[in-house]
Amino acid sequence: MEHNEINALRTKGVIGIAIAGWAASLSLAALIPAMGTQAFHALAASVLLNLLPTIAAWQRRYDSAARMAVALMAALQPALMLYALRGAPWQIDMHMYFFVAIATLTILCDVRPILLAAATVALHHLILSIAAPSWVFSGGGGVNRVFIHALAVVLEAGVLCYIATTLNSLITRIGSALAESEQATRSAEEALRLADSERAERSRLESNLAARRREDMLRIAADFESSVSEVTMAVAKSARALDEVMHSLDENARDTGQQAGEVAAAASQVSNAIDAVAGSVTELSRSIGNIAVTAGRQDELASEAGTRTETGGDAVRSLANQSKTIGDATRSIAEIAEMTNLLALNATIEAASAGDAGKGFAVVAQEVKQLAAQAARATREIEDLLSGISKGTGEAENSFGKLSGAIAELARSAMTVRSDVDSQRAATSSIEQTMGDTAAGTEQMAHNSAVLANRASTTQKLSGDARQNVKALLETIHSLERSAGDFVASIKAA
Amino acid sequence: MYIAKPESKPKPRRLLGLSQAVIAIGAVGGLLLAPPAFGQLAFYPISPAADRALPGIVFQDGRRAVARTALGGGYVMQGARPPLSELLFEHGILVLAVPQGGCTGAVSGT
Repeated sequence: MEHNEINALRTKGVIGIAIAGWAASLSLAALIPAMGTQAFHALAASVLLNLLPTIAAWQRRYDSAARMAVALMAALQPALMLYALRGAPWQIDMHMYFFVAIATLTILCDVRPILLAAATVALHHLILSIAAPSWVFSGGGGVNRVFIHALAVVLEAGVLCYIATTLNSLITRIGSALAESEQATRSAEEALRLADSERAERSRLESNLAARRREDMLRIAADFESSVSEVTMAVAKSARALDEVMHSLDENARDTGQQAGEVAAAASQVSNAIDAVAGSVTELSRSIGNIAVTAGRQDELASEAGTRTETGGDAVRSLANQSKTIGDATRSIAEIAEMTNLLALNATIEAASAGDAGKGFAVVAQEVKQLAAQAARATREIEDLLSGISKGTGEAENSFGKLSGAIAELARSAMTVRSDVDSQRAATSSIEQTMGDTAAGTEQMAHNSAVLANRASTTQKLSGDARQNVKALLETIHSLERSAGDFVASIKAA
Repeated sequence: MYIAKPESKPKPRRLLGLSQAVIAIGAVGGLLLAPPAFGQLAFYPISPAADRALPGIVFQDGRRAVARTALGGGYVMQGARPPLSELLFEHGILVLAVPQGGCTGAVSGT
């Protein structure tokens, strides 16, 4: 990276060389009256060569292209002087300006423009000494003169390159040192400025800090006072609420103790009543046992009555069958009596036919006929009796059937009664068990009621103590408020 | 202290040096071809009318023909140079110097 000092020197060099180029053009213009057309042509070429270096100088350019353009112009301006003075005795003296032009390029601090200018001058001499010798040396100089001039140009270029390089290095080092010095100066000034700024800032911060600290203290004191006031108010409010709660608790404990005593007394009464009920239930259980025994006896009797009723029924049915047998025998007797009557009738007829001899026989026949009639009447009476017996046995059989149904119903009722009695016995047993449990629970309830009454008494005592403590807490809160007020007042006064 | 402006246009840098080289070559070459006020001159017609008028013009003012030019159908004359602008703009004739050994040199005597 090149330093600004070198660039500034190069810019000055470009500008100066461009101005020198226009000075050369003016010189050529001055030669026109003396040298005529060739000076005019040289002037035109000189103006052309000055254009780009002038633009570069106008633009403050110092880059390598600008330097090379300036070097080319500087090397050719003396050549134009030679051309303009062609044939004049002073032409040879114009060669001095080649050395001047090349030496002027040293200000560019670059070896390349020097080398380019030297090469251009050398080529100019070599080419024109062959192509147009009159442009270089009046009357011709020969190759030897060209080489002498070229050697001088080379030597000068070498020395100038060394000087340019050394100058570049020196300026670079000086620039670096200067930059470092300026940097150090700026750093020192910056450090001093920072120190002053920090000192002022520290002073301002300390002042602000003190003011802020006092503001913070006042704000903290106000916040503390407000917080303590809020806290004490809240605690006092809570304490008063607690006192009210304790008062209510005391009353509740008193009511609870009273109600617990009443519950204990009621539980004792309930226990006694349960004992009495348990005794009644025991009696009821015994009575149900007796009913169960009676129901069992009734069942047995119903079974026996049923058996006997069936036996009676069988006897009646046997009697009915025998009455039918008697009826059959009776109808046989009636048939015999009818046949006897018919026989007596025949005997009567025969006796009548026999006359007087048959009169006795007719009397016997009459008697037989009467016996047959009597037998027939006896038979009808027997049939009537048998009919009454059959009707009676039917009714008896029917009665026995109904009786058997009633006895069966009775047996079922007895079984139902026995089953119900068994259920009642189970129910009474369960009632007895429940009553026992109830009695135990009642006793436990009475015991618990007594404990509750005792605890209610204890609670009442504790609530009283708590109310005393609440009063002490309220006094402490008032004391805290006074202390906080004194503390805040001392802070504000500080 | 003078501080130069930073380089802001990097691209035209080489163009500047190249353009200057072209101008230098052109200027020196132009000088080689610039016709002197008196001496050997090459007259080149650059239009058909100039071609027809060229013989009548080149022999004015006591100029003497030295040879025909190698190219372009011109004449190499020895003598005073007429005004360049008059020849170029009124007659269409270009006048150049005749360097020794150049392409404008004479190829045959008259």
